[in-house]
Amino acid sequence: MSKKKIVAVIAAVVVVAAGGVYLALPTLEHGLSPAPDSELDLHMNVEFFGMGINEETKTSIVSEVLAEITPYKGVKYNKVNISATKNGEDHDLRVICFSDACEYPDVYDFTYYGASKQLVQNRYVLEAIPPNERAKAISVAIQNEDAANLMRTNSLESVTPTVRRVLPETAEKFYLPKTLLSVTWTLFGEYPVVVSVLVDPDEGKGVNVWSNLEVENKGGEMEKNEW
Amino acid sequence: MKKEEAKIEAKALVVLMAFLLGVFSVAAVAGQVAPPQPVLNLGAVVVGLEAGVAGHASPPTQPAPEVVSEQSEEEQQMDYKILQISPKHEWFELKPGGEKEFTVKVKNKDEEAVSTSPRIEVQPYGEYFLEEEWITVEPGSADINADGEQEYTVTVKIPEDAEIGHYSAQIVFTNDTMPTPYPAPFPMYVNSLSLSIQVWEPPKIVVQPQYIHDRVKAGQSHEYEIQFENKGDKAIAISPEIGGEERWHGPFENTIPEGWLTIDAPAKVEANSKATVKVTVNVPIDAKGRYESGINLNIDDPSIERWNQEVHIGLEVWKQPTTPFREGFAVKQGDKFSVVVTAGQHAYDRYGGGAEEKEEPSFDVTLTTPEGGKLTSEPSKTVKKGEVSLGMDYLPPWEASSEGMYHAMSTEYSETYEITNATGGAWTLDILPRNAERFEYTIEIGE
Repeated sequence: MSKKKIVAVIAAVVVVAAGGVYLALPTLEHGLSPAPDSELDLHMNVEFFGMGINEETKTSIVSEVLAEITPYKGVKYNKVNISATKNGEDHDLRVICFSDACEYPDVYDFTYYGASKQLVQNRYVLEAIPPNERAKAISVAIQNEDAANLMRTNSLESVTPTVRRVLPETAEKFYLPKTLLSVTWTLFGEYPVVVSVLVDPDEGKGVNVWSNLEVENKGGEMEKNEW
Repeated sequence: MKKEEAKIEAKALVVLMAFLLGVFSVAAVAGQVAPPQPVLNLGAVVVGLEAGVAGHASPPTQPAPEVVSEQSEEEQQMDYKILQISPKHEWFELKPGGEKEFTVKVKNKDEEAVSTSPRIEVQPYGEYFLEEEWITVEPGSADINADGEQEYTVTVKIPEDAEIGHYSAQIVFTNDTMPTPYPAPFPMYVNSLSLSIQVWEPPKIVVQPQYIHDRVKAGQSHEYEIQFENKGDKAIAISPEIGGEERWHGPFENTIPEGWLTIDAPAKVEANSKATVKVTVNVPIDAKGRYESGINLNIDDPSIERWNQEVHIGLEVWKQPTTPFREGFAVKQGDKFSVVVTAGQHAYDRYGGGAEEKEEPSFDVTLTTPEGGKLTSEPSKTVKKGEVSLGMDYLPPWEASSEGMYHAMSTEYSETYEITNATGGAWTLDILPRNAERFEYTIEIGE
């Protein structure tokens, strides 16, 4: 095979590969689709907001972000908004993922490092949980005797709790490396009262309880704050 | 003469005997009527009490034979072996059909070998009793040498048809029992492990909400829905009725009279389906204050704890004030003054991008001049002030990943009214708040 033919074959492979990558990216601004192996909906609507960011970086950010976000089991994101703020070579990203089946969105904060083209997750609040799962988690949390006592003694019954997804890497520190749900009641005021139950949605049981009224003393023993 | 002498001798002998008899009689009588010695008597009572407590009537100085006998029995009872058993108590949860294995370490700290043959003892108290055949302990027997240690493997298998509830039993390693000063109804085994198992299963039915809290207006009707979802394969009967205070302990300021509540519920929730129970509350026109009640759902699902069978209803009957708050103040002729009225609103339900948006507070403010003229002008300035947390101070440890996200904590609304070149004299400020539980005002006179 001649050198020209080799070059032509390589060029053809590069073009096909580039086309494949391009087509594997989501639509709207790009007219692209998400990767088929993700749990993301093929018809997901991705919107990108950000000034002074070139198309190549945009495409790279979108691709990296979509690879990093995963909805709750059985949930599909219908809309993903990516807001980018340029910070020198890097970009701070706020990613809000909406699902038609959920009342609340999943919100992620990332930093995209321009030099290394690396995406780093900074923080997240994941509340895109189907209403029935949400209700079940609250019901399970209320059944925890410790939590029920704390709620009753601190008049938290009338407070609507938040239900948030806890990712396996965090859950491992408190129970097992699996997706858990955090059901949290917060009563604001001069002395806020917070009671949270970590719920295993598969087992339907509370696996850990935390309250800001319980403080660790020097001996490591838990005691109640005397508020 | 000899006869007379003999008579005299006989008389003397009789007199002597009579004298001796008299002396002995007096002595005997005197001994019988001798006055009681109080100290001795008290001592006798005390001794008697002590003996009674000990179960014996003999004074301690002269112990009765049976005391000696019981002491030796006690000494015999004290002569038991004490093994170091770890854990001494074991508690866990299992579902029907579930199985769990754990290890028990038994150390013999004595100088002699001890024979152990673990067995299950079920004491007749507790909610449910663990059946012997549910528990196996391996090895079935072992001799533990002095300072030796033996590990046992305990396997608990809960049958599929076991009832939901709290089960207990003891795993007894030796027959040694704790001596008790009184007869014990059941032997207290010294070398035993207490086993408690909560047999549970996830509720097949989900109820939401379990708390209805609302601020309602007197004279109005309000309808609430309780959603049921049966995730099981069989229909589950429900029979909601007013009552049930297992979980929500009173006393309450007011209990919602039964006549206010109407419950519209299906008789059952079909398998793998949802159902709605409607609760209608008719609040009479003369109601005021806080009212509480409960609805016992009577769900025929043993996996639901008793206190989760209830939905609590808390209603605050709110009457919008119609008479304004009034405050007087004095200004000098030509002064400039301002009135700032502020009301705060904590995030509560709005926390975390929450569901229910509350109506924003507002105020009807009227200023009355010294001449009696009423000024009801629009505020010259309105301010909305918010407090936002980054979650550092109140998030549970498993939500630490959301630190740095913004969480709206509270919002404050204020309205400013300004008067320039005021008429000197006594002014009156009237404030009628709307959608506010409390408010603050500031009257600032002068530049």
